[in-house]
Amino acid sequence: MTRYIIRRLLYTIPVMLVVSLIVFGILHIAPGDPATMLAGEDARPEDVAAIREKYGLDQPLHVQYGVWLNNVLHGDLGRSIVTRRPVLSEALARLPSTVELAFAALFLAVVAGMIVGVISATRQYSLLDHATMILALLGISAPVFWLGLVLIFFFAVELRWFPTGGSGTIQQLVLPAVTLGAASTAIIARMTRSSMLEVIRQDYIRTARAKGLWEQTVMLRHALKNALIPVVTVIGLQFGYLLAGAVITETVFSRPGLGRLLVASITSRDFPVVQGTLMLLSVSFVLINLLVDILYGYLDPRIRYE
Amino acid sequence: MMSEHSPGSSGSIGDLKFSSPTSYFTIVVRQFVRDRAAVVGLVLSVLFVLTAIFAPLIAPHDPYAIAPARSLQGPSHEYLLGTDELGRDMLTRLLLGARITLVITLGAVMLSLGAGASLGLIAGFYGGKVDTVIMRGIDVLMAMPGFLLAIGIIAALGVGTSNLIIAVGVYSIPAFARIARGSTLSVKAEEYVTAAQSIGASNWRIMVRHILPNIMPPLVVQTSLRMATAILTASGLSFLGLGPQPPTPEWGAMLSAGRDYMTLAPLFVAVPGLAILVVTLSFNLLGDGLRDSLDPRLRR
Repeated sequence: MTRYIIRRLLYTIPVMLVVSLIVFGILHIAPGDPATMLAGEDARPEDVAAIREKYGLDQPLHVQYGVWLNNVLHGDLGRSIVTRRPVLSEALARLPSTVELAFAALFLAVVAGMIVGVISATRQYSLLDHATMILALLGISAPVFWLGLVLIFFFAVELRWFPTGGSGTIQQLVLPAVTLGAASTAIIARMTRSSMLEVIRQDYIRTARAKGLWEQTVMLRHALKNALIPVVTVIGLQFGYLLAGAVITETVFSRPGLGRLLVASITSRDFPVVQGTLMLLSVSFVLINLLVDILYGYLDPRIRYE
Repeated sequence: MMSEHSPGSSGSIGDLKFSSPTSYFTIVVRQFVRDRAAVVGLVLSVLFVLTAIFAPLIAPHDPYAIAPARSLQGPSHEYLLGTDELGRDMLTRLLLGARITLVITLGAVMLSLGAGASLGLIAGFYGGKVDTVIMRGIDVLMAMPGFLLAIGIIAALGVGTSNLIIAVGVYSIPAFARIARGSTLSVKAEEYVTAAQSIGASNWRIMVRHILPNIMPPLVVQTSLRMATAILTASGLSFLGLGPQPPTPEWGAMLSAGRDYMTLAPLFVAVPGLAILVVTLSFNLLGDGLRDSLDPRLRR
C-alpha cells in the first residue's frame, strides 16, 4: 500500500506541472502585452516596467515560466490589479467557503445518491424505480443556475425557510449545497443502481441467500460493499465537477467563494487573480483525486498491485 | 449493409424455406422505435432544431424592440409569455435564443467531434509514439476540471460567442478522442482491415474508408450526449456573463437578466430555464436510446 501511495504521489507532480503550464499560458495566449495586463490597463509606465522586470517578461518564454513557477512555489501569485492585495491571501480567504460548499454538496450527493440507487436496484422496474430514475434524469439535465433560482424562489422568497444567499451558517449552506449536489446525486444514484444490479446477479450473492442470511445483510454486507468500487471512482470525478460547479452556485447565492472571485476577476480582466484562483481550484482538484485514488486502492486490492 | 430483401420477406429453394436476414440498420431502427423515451428525445430534439432554423419566420415580434412602458408584463394575448425588463417579447427572444443556443452547441460539438475523433483515430491507428504523444496531449486537457478549463480559455481569449464555442468545444475533445481511440483499436484488429492492408490500400484510405465508418456508432451516441453537456456548459458560462453579450437573446444570459426580477415576473426566469432543461433532457434521452439500440450488448 505504501508503494502504491508513493507511486500515486509521484504521478501527481507532472499533472501539477501541466496545470501550471495551462494557467501560465492563459496570460500569454491573451491578446496584449502581459506586463500591462498584470499591472492593469491604467498603470503608470514605471509600474509596468517594474512588473516586466520582476516576472522576467522580456526574457524567452521558458525563462518566464521558470520565474513564474518559482514565484508560485514560494506562494507569490502576484497582486490583484483591482485591490492591490496579494492574490494568495485574497484567494485563501475565500477557499474555505468554496471547500465547505463542495464538501456539503458531495456529502449530500453520496448519501442521497447511494440510498436512492440501492432502493432502485432492489426494486428494479417497480414504480418507485421508474420514478427515481426519471427524477435522476431530470437532475442531470437541469441547469444548476436555474435550479438554484427556483429553490431561492420557493424556499427563500415564498416559504422563507432559508436565506437567499451569503455564507457562514448552516442555513445559508443548505440551498447552495442542494443546488450544486443535485446533478451529482443523480449520477451517483444511476451508477449505484447499475452497479448493484450487476453485483446482485453474482454467485456469491446467491450463496449468501442460500445460507439463509437476512436480505438486509446480503444487500448491505455482500452486495453494496462490492458495488461501491465503481461508485468511488464516480465520486472522485464528481468532486472536480463540484469545484467547477461552485463557480456558478456561488454566483447564484452570492457566496463569497473562489468561484465568484474568479468570475469577477475575468470580467475586470484582473489576470493575476484569474491565474491564482484557477491554480488553487485545479490544485484542490488534483489533490482530491489523489485522495480518491488512495481510497480506491484501499477498497480494491487489485488496483494496488497493477 | 442494407439487405437486398425487405426485412422479414421470405423465399424458398426447392423444399427449403428461408427468411432473408434482417439488416443491422433495420434492427437498430426497430430497437430504437421500441424505446419510447428515446423517441420522445428524438422528436423534441428535431423540434428544437426546426425551431432554431425557422425562428425568424415564426417569431411574432422584434426581439430587440425596447418599450419600457410594457416591461415585465405577464402573459397576454399579444405577448404569450409576457415581456422582459425592457419590454421585449419573451416568446420571440426564446425562439431566437434557440437559434443562438443551437449555433453555439452545434459549433462546439462539431469542433470537438472533428478534432477529438481525428486525434483518437490517428492515435489508435498508428499506436506507438504517435499514440503516446497524442494521448498525453489529451491528458493535458483533462488535468483540470473541464468547466474550469473552459473558463480559463475564455479568460485568455475574452468573452463573446465565438470564444464561447471554442471554450466549450475544447472542453469535449478528450471525450471524443478517447472513444475514437478505443474503438479504432478494436476495429483495427478486424480481418477486413488486414485485407485492405494486404491489397496495398494507403493508411489514409484505411482510416477514412474502413475504420471511420465502423467507429461511427459510439461517436454518434457521444455527439448526442455531448450536445446535452454543451448546452448546459454554454448556458452556464453565458449566465456568468462570459458568453454572448446583451442584447443577444441567449437562454443563459436571459436567465441571468431575469434573476433580479424573479419575484415580479417569475416567468422571466422559469421560461429560459425550462427551455434549457427540456432541450438537454431530449438530447440525453436521444443519446441513451441510440446507445442502447446501436450497442448489441445493451439490446433488450
